[in-house]
Amino acid sequence: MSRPTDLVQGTLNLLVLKMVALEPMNGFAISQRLKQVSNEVLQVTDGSLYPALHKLEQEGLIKAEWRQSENNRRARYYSLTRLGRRRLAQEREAWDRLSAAISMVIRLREA
Amino acid sequence: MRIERWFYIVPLRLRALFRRQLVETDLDDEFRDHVERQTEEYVRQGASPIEARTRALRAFGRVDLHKEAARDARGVAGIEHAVQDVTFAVRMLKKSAGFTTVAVLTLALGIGANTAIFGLAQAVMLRSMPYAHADRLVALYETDTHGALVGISKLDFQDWLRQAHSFAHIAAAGWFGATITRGTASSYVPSAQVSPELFQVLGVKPLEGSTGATTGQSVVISERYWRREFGAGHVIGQTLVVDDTGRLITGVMPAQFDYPHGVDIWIPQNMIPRVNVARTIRYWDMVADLKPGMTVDAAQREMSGVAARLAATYPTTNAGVGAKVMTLQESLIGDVKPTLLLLTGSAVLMLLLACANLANLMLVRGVARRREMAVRTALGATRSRLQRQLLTESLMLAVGGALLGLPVAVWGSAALRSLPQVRTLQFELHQSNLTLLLLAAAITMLTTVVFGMVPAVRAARVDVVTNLKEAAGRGVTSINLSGGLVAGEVAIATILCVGAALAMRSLSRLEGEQLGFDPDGVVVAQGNLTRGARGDARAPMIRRILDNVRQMPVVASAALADAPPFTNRNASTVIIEGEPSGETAHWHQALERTVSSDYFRTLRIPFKQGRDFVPADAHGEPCVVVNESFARTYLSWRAPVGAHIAQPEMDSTQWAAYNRGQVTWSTVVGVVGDVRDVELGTPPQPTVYSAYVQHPDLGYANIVARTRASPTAVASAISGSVKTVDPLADMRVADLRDYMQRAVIAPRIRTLVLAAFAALALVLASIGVYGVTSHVTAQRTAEIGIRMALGARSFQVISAVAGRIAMYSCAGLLIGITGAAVAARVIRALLYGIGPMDVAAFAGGGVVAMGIAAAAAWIPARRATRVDPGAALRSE
Repeated sequence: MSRPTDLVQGTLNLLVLKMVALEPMNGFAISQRLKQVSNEVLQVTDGSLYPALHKLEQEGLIKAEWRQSENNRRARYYSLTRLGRRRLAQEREAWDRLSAAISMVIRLREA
Repeated sequence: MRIERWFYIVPLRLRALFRRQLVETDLDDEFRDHVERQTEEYVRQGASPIEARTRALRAFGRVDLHKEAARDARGVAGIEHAVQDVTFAVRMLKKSAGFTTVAVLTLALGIGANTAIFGLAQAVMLRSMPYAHADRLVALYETDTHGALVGISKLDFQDWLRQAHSFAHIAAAGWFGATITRGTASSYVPSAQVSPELFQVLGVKPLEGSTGATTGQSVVISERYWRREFGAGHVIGQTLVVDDTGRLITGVMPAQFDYPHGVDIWIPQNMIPRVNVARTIRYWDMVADLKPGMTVDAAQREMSGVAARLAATYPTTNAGVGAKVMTLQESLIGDVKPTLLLLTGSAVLMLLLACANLANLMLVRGVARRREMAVRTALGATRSRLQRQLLTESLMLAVGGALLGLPVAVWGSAALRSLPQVRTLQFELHQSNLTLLLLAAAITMLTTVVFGMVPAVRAARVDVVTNLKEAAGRGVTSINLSGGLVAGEVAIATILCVGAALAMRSLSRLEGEQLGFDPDGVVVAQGNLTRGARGDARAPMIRRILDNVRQMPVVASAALADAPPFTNRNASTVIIEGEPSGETAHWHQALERTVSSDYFRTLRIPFKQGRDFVPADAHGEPCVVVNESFARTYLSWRAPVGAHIAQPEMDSTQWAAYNRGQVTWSTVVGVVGDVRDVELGTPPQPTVYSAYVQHPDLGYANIVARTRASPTAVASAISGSVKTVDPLADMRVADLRDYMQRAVIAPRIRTLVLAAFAALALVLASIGVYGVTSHVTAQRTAEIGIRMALGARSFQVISAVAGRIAMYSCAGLLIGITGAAVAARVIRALLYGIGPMDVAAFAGGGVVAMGIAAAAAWIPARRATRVDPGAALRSE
């Protein structure tokens, strides 16, 4: 029920990697940003972001550390590792290829 | 790339595993932080704090689910689950301690006992001999006119050597007792004259020196003798005095070289007779190695042809004499085969029984846990999680049982190996055990695990709701399976019980046998009593020792004997005056024993005719006493007392003298009753007793003494008395009853092992029957309640509950009796005094097995009738 499909999962990973690539972010910020960019696409509860984050962390793609945030609060900040940077490039390339292919297919004119 | 990845991952995994608390706190903090920020966000959008928090929580989703997913993401969930499974399994197994104990014990005994026994059987039957090319080694025999195996004579050996082409080498060995003199002490050492090829045939290299030198007076000694007498020091080239002849030690043979069995000294000797010895003196053992590609059957055909040619050439000595070729292994272990078959068969049955029992235990337990499984499924346990849980539990049982089986196997092997009948076999036991242990462990463990998984399979198949509603359910299919197992268990228990009953009855027949003498109160001093004397000084010394013992107040009478009762006796060839000479048929076989006067009185062997030896015989005519069997078999044509007989020694000079008509005849002066003093269970054989005083060269003698006090109390006094004459004397003083016990040790141990197997089988089978009946009863509690409430009598309830079990048990009994009848035929050689279809044993074994099964079914069935109908009805 709360298990995202493989496509969505893969997309989620790509999105998360992309976001933390811009700057180190905490979970809440990532989830807010995700909602902003794709509220309609990702029909998942806020909490299901965390297993995905932990999975990426366990794979060594992102790393986490506790940091002082605004108004003196501790939060867990995720940032991209070198491994993650490489993976992001790969995923992006794959995504580009896939979306290009799909775009081409759906733009085919019916004969 | 790979390494870099590990650089991130390893610390994280370690942290997840070992700083679990910290990781969990982190997760909590992170979640809380998220919800707090979301709440603030909503508040900022204008919601009330309470409403904001509710919305934030709702948006977050199920906290426990996300936590679980995050834990899974850590990649150590497998390990964590395993730890949980093990902890839970331990708790469950502890909770049902009875079940656990029984299952683990079943496993341990099934694995351990079987490994020990299989190991022995395999080592002896399949790979017994530590010789190179053991599969090509054969033993050769001549067969007498009755078809019995006998040794070969030197002359026939020469002809065989010339005519036989099936063998690469042929060797002969002749056992004899040698007197070894070292310094002032002399000792009696089992020895063999061997043809030099023996070492090549058996393919064993000497430990020290060589076996090659055949010229001159050489001798090869055993490793055992080398260590005992020379402290494993330098011996090659030293002189050893064997039967007053100095011989050079040329080699030391390793312990594995044990042919002929128990020999410490080998005297290599070319087998060319110096003078014309008798073709009829047949006592040499022969071994040969088949040429590559040659079979035993082909060799047998060739040797039969050779024997037939010899019979045609030498009709007076070789008519009716055949040849027999068999594998050396068969010749060495032939008579233990039935014993091993028996042990192996019992072990296989035990393994089957253990497996059946484990299967049954796991099935019954599985059905009892259906509700638990249903509850856990309802609470969200996945199918694979349940399966893993059950697998862990079964595996823990299996591993626990197997671990306990290891010491049982080690101890069992050691115990079996120390049995005297096993010790005399030549084999290596250690290597094969591991494979066997693994095999037995694998079979029983597999059974445990497979049947342990049944509930998980069921849980997957059966709808949760139905299961919860029906609670224990009906489970009829499992009853059919269990019923089959019950029948099998009862059958196996019956077979083993009948087997044990047969063995016990054989043993009691054997022990109740008429000995023909009175062993009670007799002490035997056996050993080297005249160790301090040499050569001719030995005979006077043994006389003085005997006189000393006779003068002891506690000794009623004492005598000398070359071998005490129940120790091996030599067979010799006897000829009788008045019978046609020179023909094979008139060379009689008789056991030979040399005793002093008073021997018969001391053992209370009755005289049927004639007289005992007297001191005057020392200077009189040669005389002998024979037993009734001898008189009946060989002297029935005349009055035995006064007959003249001769026992030509196995040497050429006497044979030559006999041929010239110069044989030394002895007069039969007495006939004594038959005694069973060789082996219990073999009938008395014709025996000739020679007079000790007429054989002063026999320096070695043992003392038998009838005492007025208990033999154990007198033992040290007798030992002391001997030592006043010969301080160097080396002896063992024991009750004659001890020797008797040793004579029946093989059947005794067989009986013991079978009885132990039967007892174990009964325990296992009764557990099986009890388990199934309890289970059936538990399933039908409600039904029983209704019946009782409607006025059923307890008898009716019991028959309703136990009726099917009884049916299965009866079927098992029938199968078991049939199986036992087949088994008894196979091992009939081990029975004594009863036939393989002994009614008492079958009835006894069957009744015991059935009685135990009935009791095991009765207890739970009876308990069912005590059920309070109200409680039973409410129980579902």
